[in-house]
Amino acid sequence: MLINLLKYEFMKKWKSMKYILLGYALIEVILLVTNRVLLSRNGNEMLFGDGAITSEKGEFLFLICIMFYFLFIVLISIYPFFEGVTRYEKDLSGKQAPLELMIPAPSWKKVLSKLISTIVVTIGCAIISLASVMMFILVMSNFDKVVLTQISNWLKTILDYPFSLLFTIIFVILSYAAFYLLINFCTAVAKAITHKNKLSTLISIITFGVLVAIMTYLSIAIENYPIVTFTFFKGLATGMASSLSSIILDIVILSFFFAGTSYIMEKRIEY
Amino acid sequence: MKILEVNGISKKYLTKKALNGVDLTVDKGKIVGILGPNGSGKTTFLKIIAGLTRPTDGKVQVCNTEIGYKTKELIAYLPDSDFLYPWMKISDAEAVYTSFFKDFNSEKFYELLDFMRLELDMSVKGLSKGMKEKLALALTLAREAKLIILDEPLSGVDPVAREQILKAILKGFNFESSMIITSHLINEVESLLDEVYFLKEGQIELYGNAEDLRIEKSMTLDELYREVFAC
Repeated sequence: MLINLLKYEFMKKWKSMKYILLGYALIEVILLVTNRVLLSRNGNEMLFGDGAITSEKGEFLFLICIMFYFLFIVLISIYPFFEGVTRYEKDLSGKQAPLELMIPAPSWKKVLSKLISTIVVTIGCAIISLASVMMFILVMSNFDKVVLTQISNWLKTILDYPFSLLFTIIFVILSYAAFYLLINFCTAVAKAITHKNKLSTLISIITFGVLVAIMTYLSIAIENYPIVTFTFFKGLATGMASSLSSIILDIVILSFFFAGTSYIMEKRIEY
Repeated sequence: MKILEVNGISKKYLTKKALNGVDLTVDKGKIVGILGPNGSGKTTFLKIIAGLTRPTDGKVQVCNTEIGYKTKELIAYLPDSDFLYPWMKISDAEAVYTSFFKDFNSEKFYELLDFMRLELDMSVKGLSKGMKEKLALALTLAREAKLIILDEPLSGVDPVAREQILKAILKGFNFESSMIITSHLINEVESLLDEVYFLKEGQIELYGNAEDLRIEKSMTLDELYREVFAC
């Protein structure tokens, strides 16, 4: 059943995202080509690398194009999260809720399938975003060897710390999952109380505020009992210290939101 | 064999009582009508049986199983509103039903589609209200569920489509299962019903075997409805 639920979730996501992805690809290609043409017309051959010349004219259109190019990258990166959150809200109280709620599967499987599909689609969009950034750098540098070498060096530096990299990826995914489940938990709490949109939104926001305050307090308090401390993000930046106790807390919070959302969906949500 | 047993179901929304101590039993092979005006609690009652709403008090069992996600395998529920995604093609809807409901019979679904003059490559977005109702009904009736629940299957549908839907209900009904129908159009559904329950302000006002009631009161169900719910 979990596999069927996953297929269903991916189908829903694909149907809602396919035109967005297509539109994104088209817009980014147009913006990239426009940028390349504008850069050449401005008398520069490359924006990055040893041969880069800084234009003093500061072409307005060129900057606008760059801004939009990166704006769309940001939008495509965050879209799966918002899509996942709004989809969950609609599945609980929207027109299609009877179809969703009549599926003969325990709620934890439904929540898990939504979580997994959202994470997978987010990873997919993150890869697309990274590819877009890389494409921008390569095209704007005119595929300059120096830039290519810098990129490969940067990748090598990251891969020099495989465990740190793996740990960082797991940490980021867990944090993302916890945040996604936190929002869904707030939505479920609100929908269990009322289906009136304005009131349920207000309840969600209040629940969110209260839970964030509690989590912040717990995170600060747990730092007094670190058990073991270590550093994340080695090779990526300056590093970020963390402790075993805070990771345990993150896992407890994630489990709480997962179990809480599933319980409310199973026992409290009414259509 | 009892397919559905409802004992003393009540449902309260804050101060308003939508249902008040409703009892009902449905035997295998029977078609039961729940008749009542708007706001009498019909839809709430059906949602409780379907497991979409929880009763404040009372007990519901489908095939001796308490209401929960397991009874959703036993119940085919047709809600009174659109529930399919507009982006779906009829084939997508079929795929969803096939993957989630073990009792979904694709051959029966194709027969019903053919009967309703619908095609697999049609998109839900492009269907009229009547066609959507027919599609939803075909999906529901194609399940070989123990209990089929149809909430207002004829509402907002033109007379020709109504006739087709009624024929489809008869065509799709299997005597190994049971069916509950709610409708305002008593004349239209009267011939289908084995038993009727008249629901008024959340309570059963009158119930019995449809034929016995007709003989006993010397009235059609439509006339009886008007008498029970007359102001």
